[in-house]
Amino acid sequence: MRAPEPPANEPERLAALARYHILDTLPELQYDEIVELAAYICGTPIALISFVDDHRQWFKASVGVEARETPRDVSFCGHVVAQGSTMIVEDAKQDERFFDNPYVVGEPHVNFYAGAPLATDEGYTLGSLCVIDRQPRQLGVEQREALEALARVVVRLLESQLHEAELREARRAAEAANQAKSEFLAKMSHELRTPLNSVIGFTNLLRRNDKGKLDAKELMYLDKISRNGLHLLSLIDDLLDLSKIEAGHAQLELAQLHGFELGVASVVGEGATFYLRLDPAAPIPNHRKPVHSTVTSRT
Amino acid sequence: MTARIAIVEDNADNRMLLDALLADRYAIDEYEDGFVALAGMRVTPPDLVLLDISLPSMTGSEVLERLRADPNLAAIPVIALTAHAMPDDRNGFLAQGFDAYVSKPIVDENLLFDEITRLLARGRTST
Repeated sequence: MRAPEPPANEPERLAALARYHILDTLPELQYDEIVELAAYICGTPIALISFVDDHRQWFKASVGVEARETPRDVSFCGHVVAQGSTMIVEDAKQDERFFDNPYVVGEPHVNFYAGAPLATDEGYTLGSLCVIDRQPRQLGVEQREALEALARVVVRLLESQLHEAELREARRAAEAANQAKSEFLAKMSHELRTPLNSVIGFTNLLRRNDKGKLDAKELMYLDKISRNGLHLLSLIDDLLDLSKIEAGHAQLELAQLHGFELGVASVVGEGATFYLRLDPAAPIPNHRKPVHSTVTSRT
Repeated sequence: MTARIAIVEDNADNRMLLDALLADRYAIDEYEDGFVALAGMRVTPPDLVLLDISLPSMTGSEVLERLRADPNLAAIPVIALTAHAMPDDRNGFLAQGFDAYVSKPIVDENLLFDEITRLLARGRTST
């Protein structure tokens, strides 16, 4: 018997296999159906999807055998991984690599074996899709091609599951980042509003001029502090609005101010379209938020 | 009789501002911390509480919870006076059981006066 050699790129191949997170997962219908189809097409009692790990081969799906894994050194599929191409053993008893293999001599009495490589686009053979019979036989050209095509389907399935997992992870990370941003903005808003309370509040107190000692100029200065404080407050509010739009949570929000109508027309992906409708007959509104700055900062 | 208002606010400047706004109309008790406030209010129950939310050792929401759990203080109207002013905050605080919500900065102090007057009047009719 000859144990399968690891391929030259074994460490990278094992790393690639690990990336798919397929080892020791639960059975899945798609893989089960592929082995059933392979066994049916090739007319064999046994078919397996085998992933070749460091010291074992592990079966994602199987028909005709109960085992979930076997040691790598007595595996047939290890040889498919070693040569990186389809391997057909028509009569294992006549093959110097396998004649005394425990699975040939004993259960499940492998005699015929055909395994197509599960090869990734990067050129790593992760395992094989194989069919097994207990008696010697041959595989027709079309059966071999079908087996190889099904092996490619297995790899596509792996790829798409990996892709889905990556998308889920990216989405989770994006949501976490967005959550962190929202928390940061809420905290910033709180931290900015607290001192602004003193600025605006004390200014308003002084502007009452309770003792009548402030002259017109001093009152004008206080007025400026007050107005700039309010402007700062509206900037904080705008910043929060902007972040809502960035996060795609913008509501269709109409601001109707005497002939002005400002709204969000649509939010598509990262882009947002706004509109500003003006009634030429209406007077220019006097609103605490300067409309021009709102529009420019939002678009 | 002059109504008594407890101000629970950790920021000294904002405490002073509230005192300046309210002291000529109400008797004011100032507290800078939730624990101290609860202890003080048990001795001298106020007619109304102005409660900041971000307090050092105990949040305003926790102070509210303990007020409501104390039979002698449970009925006192409590206004959340807070710089937590994100869009959902108002509804969140009212849902927690605050009787009113006033955001900081106080741009128009009349809004605060109105809420205080309304809640004090309600307190008198219910007792």
